[in-house]
Amino acid sequence: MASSSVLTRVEPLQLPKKLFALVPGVALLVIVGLSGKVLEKSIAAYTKAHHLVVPNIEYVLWAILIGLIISNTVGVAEVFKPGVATYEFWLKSGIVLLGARFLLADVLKLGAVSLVLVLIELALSIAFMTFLGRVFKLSPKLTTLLAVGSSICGVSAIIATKGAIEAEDEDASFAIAAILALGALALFTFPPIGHALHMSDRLYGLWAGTGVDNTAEAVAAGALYSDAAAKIAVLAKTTRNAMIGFVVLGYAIYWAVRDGRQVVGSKAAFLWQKFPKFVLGFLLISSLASLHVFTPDQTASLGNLSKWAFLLTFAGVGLRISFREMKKQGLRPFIVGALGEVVIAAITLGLVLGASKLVQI
Amino acid sequence: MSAVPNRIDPTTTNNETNKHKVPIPEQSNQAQPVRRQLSVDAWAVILSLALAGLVRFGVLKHISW
Repeated sequence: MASSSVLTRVEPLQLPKKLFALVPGVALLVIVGLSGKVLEKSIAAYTKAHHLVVPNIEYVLWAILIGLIISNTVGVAEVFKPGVATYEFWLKSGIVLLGARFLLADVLKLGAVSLVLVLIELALSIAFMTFLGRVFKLSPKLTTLLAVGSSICGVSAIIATKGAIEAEDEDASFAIAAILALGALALFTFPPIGHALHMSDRLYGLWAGTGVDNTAEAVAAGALYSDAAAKIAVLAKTTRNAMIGFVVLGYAIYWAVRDGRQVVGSKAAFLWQKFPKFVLGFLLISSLASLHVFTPDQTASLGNLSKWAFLLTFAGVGLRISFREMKKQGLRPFIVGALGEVVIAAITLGLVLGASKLVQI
Repeated sequence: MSAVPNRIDPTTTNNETNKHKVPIPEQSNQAQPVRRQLSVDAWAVILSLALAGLVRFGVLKHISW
């Protein structure tokens, strides 16, 4: 193989050039994120000074709203796009750093509860989305992509599955647009429902982690409720993300058999390739925290670093929502996605409330 | 024209005819340098571990929110 016989040659200027291209977009993420934080504090100070009773709007929502306004009015210029796309990197860094706030025993306990809920949610949501796709006569591969996107982890799962089942670019764009639109809606619907049902932080976090599709939106939906809910949402969502390899492998085999192609070679290698490696980083930091490698003050610092990373993520969530692009994709996949999401949200809510009766969460 | 028109020629990517002979990259005599790039996940873990190290050894102190 070429890769084993030739040493890697990287031109010395390439990495600095690449990093330089990220600067404007990352700066935009910082400005939008910080504006959200400043707005939250300013409004809170103003209402307190004037003895006004106004519900506190968290920096998370401000950052998303500011990003959303920018992307849907003036738009995000090309020069900013590479840097804005780093929101996924900040999200994963934030999750790994958040590992310091979990003791491994907590991870295992909540992870086990999450895993059972996730397995039930996966089976039900895949079955329901497949049924909806048939009723609405969507193409079978688009139905597969929507099912995977809504059952596991949104955009990453759709991209991974697209390659594995050889779906069309157009189908993947449709599915991604639907999942992103519905993720954005979840940000505005999950927290009020949680408050209306007087859900505890842990229960709500578990619901957001199992019910919201995309990781960034799941973390944001948790953070909109409370910091503690965000922590639990991250853990539940991470458990769900870890399942991506199994579901994509299942679909890859199904479509290979159906299309008469060669079935995936080494299944273990396939699973490892699709496994989200940042989960290992999260577990590693959590193990170090469980071994008391960090003092309480250091643990608090790592938790705050994680919050800073999430701040950039939330700014990125808003900046990438484009209503114009969503409109272009048409209504049918959106309706299928929306119907599916409402049912999946209801199923996961029922599962979480049911589990809370059986085990102490 | 070949006696077996649809026969697959291993040096082509187009197996319908042999008209468009395009070398398959792995079989090319001149091996191309392959750039191994770290994934976003790997970079996220590296950055996080580096930050955790800096906090642990006192280089970064009292990160406030």
